[in-house]
Amino acid sequence: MRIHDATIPYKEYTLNNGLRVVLSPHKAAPVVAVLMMYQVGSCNERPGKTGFAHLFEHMMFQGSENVPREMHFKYVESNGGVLNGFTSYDLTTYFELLPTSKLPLGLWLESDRMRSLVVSQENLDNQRAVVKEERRLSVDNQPYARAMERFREIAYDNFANQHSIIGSMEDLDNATLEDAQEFFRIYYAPNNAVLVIAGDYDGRRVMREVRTYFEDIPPQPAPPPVDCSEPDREERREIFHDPLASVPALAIAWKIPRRNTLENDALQIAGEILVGGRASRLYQRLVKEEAVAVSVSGGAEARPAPSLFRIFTLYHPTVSPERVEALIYEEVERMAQEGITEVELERVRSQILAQRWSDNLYYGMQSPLGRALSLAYCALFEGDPGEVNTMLQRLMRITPEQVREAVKHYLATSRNRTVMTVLPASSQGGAA
Amino acid sequence: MNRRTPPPDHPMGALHLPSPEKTTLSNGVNVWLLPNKRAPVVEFRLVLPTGGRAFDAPEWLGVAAATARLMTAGTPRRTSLQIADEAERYGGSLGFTANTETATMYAHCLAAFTEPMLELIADVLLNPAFPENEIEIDRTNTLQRLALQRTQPEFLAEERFRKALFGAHPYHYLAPDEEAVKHWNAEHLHRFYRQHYCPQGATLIVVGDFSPRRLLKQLEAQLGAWQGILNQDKLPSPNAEPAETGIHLVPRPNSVQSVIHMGTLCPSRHSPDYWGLLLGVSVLGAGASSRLFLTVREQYGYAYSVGAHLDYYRRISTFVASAQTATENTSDAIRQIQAEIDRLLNEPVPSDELQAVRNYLIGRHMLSWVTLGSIANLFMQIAIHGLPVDYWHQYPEQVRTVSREAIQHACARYLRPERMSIVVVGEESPQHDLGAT
Repeated sequence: MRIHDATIPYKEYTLNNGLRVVLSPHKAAPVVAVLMMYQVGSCNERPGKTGFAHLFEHMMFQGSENVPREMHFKYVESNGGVLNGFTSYDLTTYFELLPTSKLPLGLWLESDRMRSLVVSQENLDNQRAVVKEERRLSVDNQPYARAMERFREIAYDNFANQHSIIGSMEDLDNATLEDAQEFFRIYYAPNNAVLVIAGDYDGRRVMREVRTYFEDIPPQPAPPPVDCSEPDREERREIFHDPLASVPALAIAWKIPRRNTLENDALQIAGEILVGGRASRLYQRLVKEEAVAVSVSGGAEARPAPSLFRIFTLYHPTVSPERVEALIYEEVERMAQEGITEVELERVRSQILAQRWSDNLYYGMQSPLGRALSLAYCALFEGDPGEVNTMLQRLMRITPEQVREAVKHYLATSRNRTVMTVLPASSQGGAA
Repeated sequence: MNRRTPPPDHPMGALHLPSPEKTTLSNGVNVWLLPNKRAPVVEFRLVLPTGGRAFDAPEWLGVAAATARLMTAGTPRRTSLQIADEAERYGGSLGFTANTETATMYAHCLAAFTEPMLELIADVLLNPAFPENEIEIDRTNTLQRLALQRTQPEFLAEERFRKALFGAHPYHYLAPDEEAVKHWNAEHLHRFYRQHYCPQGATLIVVGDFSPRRLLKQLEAQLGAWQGILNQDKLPSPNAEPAETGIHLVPRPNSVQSVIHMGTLCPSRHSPDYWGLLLGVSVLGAGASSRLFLTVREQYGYAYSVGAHLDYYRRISTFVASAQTATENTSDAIRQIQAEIDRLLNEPVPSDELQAVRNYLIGRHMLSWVTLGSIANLFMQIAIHGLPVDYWHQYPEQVRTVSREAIQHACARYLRPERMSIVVVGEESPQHDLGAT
């Protein structure tokens, strides 16, 4: 495969109010993605206010000066589009995927809520209830989910990285209208966002329209910087009793450098070879050769902040967690000593290209939304949407020796390591 | 400028939707080719009409699913590791799934590896070895996965819901039988494979960047040796009425939320009532401007995820409305969902709301043509359900023209409250009296 096949074209502009705009033409289908990404996520939350960035994301669908409550959904869907928003540790994203002819509608909707969001007590209370149900659905009522929330708290040492995106019920209850107004003013300013338009649009008129809708929204002082740095530390271990689980699990993580560093890139490759898919070393060792586990998954996160290299395995109750843990370290140690083979590296390179071309509507390059998301991440995290192309080239050039070095330094050690065993509550002595 | 109202549209050209080139291999495999160069990728889908769970013998529930899982566990020439490694080296993946009626193969690769990928697919499809050691590993893991599934509220709801709707009919099969898992062996899998993985009746769909002429030649060379007589689908039709209506509680200790499934049986996609039902159910529960979303979630805050849809089988379809809500709100949420269904039976859909739903369905449909994989999935639906090959080309017109009367008629006929089965998975609580049976 030729790497340049996967180049994403783009043009970049900055409006007078600081809003960055990225355009990326792709005429494969008469569809256009309008994506607005704000540089705020759960890492910006303060103690006592966990979950706020995500709760606020819900408020962005509750109406603005010219778009009454419920109408954001209706305008998009009744025009044949889809929409959503999501909050992560480091940013909050909103998008509409629309028929080409509806691009002005997307620009109008995004600009109206950036300019004039309506934040009312009634809407806040209602969305607070919805988010609490979301927490019950995704965390409190699911096996392993509470454990993984706790795992993050002990894997990191800095509050900015530790707490969950969904937040605690108590903190959700404490969120006030003033919090929401303040949050909107500080973080939802044009100079703290990037707008990406990708897909099939009319290149001759699009920037004129973007300026019409967005350029007179006033900028705000830059948000306070957030310190996401992590100290080095010794190993931390915990046992978690999960009343909803029936199969024991083992989670291991190491703190690793941020995305778009040589180390993180090398650990992305290591992650694919260790736990990416059925040909991976840990799947073969734990599930097939030793038959001690049902499944194993994980890999390297790519946050713009200290990230985690995670391994999660569901293991057989007849096996001791110590044995499973020792087998995992054996494989990590082997990679640190002997490195990886060219054959493995070739396989991973194919997989990286295939992921780039994946047909996932949200992540792959076949879809305008996937292109828009990749460009927006690079615009905000690396300050340059063009990194979307150079990052791929760098990743494809990583050598076996660089992978071995990174594994040896970051994974073949108990430094910065966190280990959690999740035991079904029934293994405390209750009936199975 | 005027910011008060939505801006006018840009002009848009007509959408050209591709049609498959259809042909048949000498052994009877239907082949549908959709060459398309928008990405350097090739997607493969294979539909085996009777490879699904409903064709399990009642005392061997789970063999269909195990056969599908273990198709990639080895051939005389390749181990399971070699199969996984090769598929990944081609920038792809390869796997089989047993659904209710069909078994399906999903595979894809980077276009440069189309020929070796096809050779791999052929080896796996024609020569599965079902090695004993792989069966043993799968046996242990299946039992563990079963224990895991029994902790997942959505799985428990789906399992009970199928029993309520289908009763003893094989469409209700979902989880494997624990005793069967413990005792099946390679011969069971080989037998199921011989009876249900046959070229006759199978449909192979290929979408992506390839040359049709070369690919066809290679398909004949690689798959031509695949032989076998199809075991026809002789399942009886399920009853038209649900086996159990009313409310059924599945106790799940330590739950903080109730998972609610409410629904009933509807006619198949071939029924004249189908389009009316589709539109009605979409008004009720498709997307974020649907009635259920706007009342149960946005007005009352009872649920994060709430909606309704139709699931399709060859002989029937099912209507499902679902939500998850805090234990103490369970009966209120059920009442809200029922009230919204009743409104659909008793009042015609207002014309602006109907127009919005038509646009939503057509728009969603157009998005299915954006990626190669979703195009392959569209045609897989046609193969699975025996729909006319131009079904998706006609879809926008059908959605645009179904009348309000047809919608109300279909909903009033099938979504009546006395036909509903309601399953609640959660904590038994004195705070909500469900009158469960």
